[in-house]
Amino acid sequence: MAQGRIEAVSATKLRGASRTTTLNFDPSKRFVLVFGENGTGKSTMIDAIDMVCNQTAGTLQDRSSVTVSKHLPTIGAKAGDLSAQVTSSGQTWTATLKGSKITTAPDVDTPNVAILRRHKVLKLVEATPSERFNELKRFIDVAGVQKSEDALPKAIKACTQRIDAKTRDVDQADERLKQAFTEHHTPEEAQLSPRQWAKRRSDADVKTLSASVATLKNLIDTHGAASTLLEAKNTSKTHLDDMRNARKAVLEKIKAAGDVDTETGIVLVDLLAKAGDYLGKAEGTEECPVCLQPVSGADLASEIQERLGKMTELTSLAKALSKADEDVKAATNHTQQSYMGLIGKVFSLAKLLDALDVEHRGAWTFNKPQFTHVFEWADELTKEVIAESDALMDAVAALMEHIKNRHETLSKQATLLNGIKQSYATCVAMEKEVKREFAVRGVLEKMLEVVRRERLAFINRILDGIADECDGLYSKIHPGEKLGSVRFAMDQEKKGSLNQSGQFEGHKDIAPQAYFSDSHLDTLAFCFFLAVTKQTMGANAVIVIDDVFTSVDMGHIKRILNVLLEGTEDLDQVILATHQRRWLDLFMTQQAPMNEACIIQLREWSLTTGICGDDVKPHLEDLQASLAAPKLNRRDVSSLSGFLIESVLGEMTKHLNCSIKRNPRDKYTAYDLLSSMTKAVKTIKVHAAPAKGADPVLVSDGPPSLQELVTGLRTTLDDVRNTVGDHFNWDAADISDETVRTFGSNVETMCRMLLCGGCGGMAMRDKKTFLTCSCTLLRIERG
Amino acid sequence: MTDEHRDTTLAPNDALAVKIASTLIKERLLDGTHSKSFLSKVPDGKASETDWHTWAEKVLASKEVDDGAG
Repeated sequence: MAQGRIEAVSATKLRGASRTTTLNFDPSKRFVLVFGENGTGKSTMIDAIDMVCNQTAGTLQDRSSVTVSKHLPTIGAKAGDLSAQVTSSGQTWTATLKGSKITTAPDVDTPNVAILRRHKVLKLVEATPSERFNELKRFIDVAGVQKSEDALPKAIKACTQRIDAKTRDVDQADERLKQAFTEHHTPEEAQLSPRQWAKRRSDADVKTLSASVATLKNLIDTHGAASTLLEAKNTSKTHLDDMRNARKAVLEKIKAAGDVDTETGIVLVDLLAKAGDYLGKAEGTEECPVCLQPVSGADLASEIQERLGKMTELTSLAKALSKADEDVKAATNHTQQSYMGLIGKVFSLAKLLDALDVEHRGAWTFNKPQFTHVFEWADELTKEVIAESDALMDAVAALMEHIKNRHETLSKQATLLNGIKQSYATCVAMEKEVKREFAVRGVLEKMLEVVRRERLAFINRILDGIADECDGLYSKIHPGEKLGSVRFAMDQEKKGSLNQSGQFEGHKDIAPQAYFSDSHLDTLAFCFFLAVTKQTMGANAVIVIDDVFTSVDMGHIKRILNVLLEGTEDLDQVILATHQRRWLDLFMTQQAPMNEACIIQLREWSLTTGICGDDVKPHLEDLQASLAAPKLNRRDVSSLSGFLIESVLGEMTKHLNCSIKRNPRDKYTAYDLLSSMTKAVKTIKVHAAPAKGADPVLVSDGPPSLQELVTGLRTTLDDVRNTVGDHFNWDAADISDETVRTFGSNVETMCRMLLCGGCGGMAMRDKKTFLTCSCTLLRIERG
Repeated sequence: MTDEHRDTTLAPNDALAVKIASTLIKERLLDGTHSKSFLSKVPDGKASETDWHTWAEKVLASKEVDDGAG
């Protein structure tokens, strides 16, 4: 938030401010004129404002071959010595320099200050469209919104693409429905459109149809599996028969082998073979393992081998029989398993057949009682169940061809119906989506229209506002001249480009920089700056114009001043710095209203004295120095004393509302002012605090008191000021040095009472019951 | 006040986005409940095709609800 008018600016070791310099601005005046000849430090004091309020290096900002840390401090001073202060509404901000970085403390709520300098004038007027855009960029650059806006046409395009794709889907689905209608509609349905037909078909009970298809498919699959198992069972049975026949053949061979009873022989062979194995393991035994008679184990083994050798054929038959037994056993098991699998599947098949709708069976009938054992089967393999199973497989064979045909027919019907349903659903759903996308696209198009319209209006509002303001100001400065009508417009072809046009001698849309004179361009830049500041900074703005008008004549100066005094009422404060004495003369000669302006004159600058304002403090120091000199300079003391009386009491009588005898020139003598003060000093109380936070001390009661000083000075004024000071006068010889010294000393004492020991300023801020200075250490109670 | 401060204070992108959002809502082209999302994206150039589409979809849905209620 801005803080209103600047009341004081101070600079220490900043460029020309080799000593601390403070300029106090009368806060009751909106217009401040800082006059000083070239090189008196005007720009330095404005740099101090720029530093504090904008954290820039002011004049040195962006200047080539300049290093802020080196060149912003006074020559010979360091960056750390530099400081600048601005006081506004009782608050003070201080800017310091660390390296090249400028910091303001506190860093919030600094006064809202815009500064126009000579070099910026050229920049504003002669800038290229892109440079001009950059000058206004911070007010009109809406690149972020524009980037977001750029995504809108893309969103519309994407929407259109989706509409096209979905419309194609609808067309394709419609084409499919049309074809299906042509091929499958019944004569009764001929009057329907493909869509109507499709809807009717879609409403049909596809569920029952699909269930029938599934039932038939299950039946076909189960029958297929049962057939496979039947085949496997048959193969297994054949194999079992083969194994049984093979065993039978072995037995017949054994019978045909000889006299010995075949079974006994085989048992003997087996016994001998086992005995031989035993003797092989019980090596060295000396007795028969059966009868326990003494015998050589080795001899016995040899004898057994001999006997077995003689029984070779019988041995071979025994082995063949053993293998045949095993084969029969395995085949039997396998056949049993095959039966179990088959009957299990036949059981399932029987259940399916039992549940099968009559419409699917056709002419085939299912004699259920004939297959009781199958239906009641409980994992037990019986001859009955085997027989019924085989019979059922035979019986169902006649049905299966019919079932397969029916399944194929119903499947085709289901596929067709599902296709119609899907295509119809696609049509309905996609059309709904297309409708939705159309609605969305409509909203997006309207959005784009609004965004574009608002963006252009936003920029044009600012530009037109600036142009109107600029033009209004310009016509006030150049009334009746056939030029002006400045307009600004964004270049639609280029980004970040701002065109400027004007009118000259009836010719419209001309480039001002090509036809306007230098002075006209100066004032145009000034009007542009003022318009931008007013438009964008609004109220609470302080504008500072630093020696901008170099080539304008007196007539234009008067009109510019008029604009500054009357056309800137919405601004908080206008500070104009100039080296042109004509501005000062306008006020001094009463051509401009003195009572509306705070005028500050800067005196000659030197590195030793620094920047000197026309405030009374330096004059007071000069008087003090003159009084302290070993040889009294009577004229200096008298003149300085007179100047101080007029300066200090000139302001104090105004702020204390003292009555005074008016004169046509509104100029008052020191005597007039002292007389005017005599009544006030009877009641006012002057308090001064030595430092912030310290208790104020009543100083006006003296001794000597302020009343005694004013009264005394009024009495001796004529002798000293008028006789010794201003004019050569023989009577001055009668005035002693002591009288002059006392007079000067009293003036100094009075001024020290009425000037703040802190800021050096007078108590000019009206707080109703009292007046105070900008730093508030000095306080005058009205009594 | 620094340039940065001033930029932040004025923020033309923000000011314009607020104006656009207000007009869109007034013209029933943006659902008020989405103004926060709108203002968090549009000034910074972050609004994508999808964002615009979503806002358009939502405003339609909102209209349908209103029309239904009406």
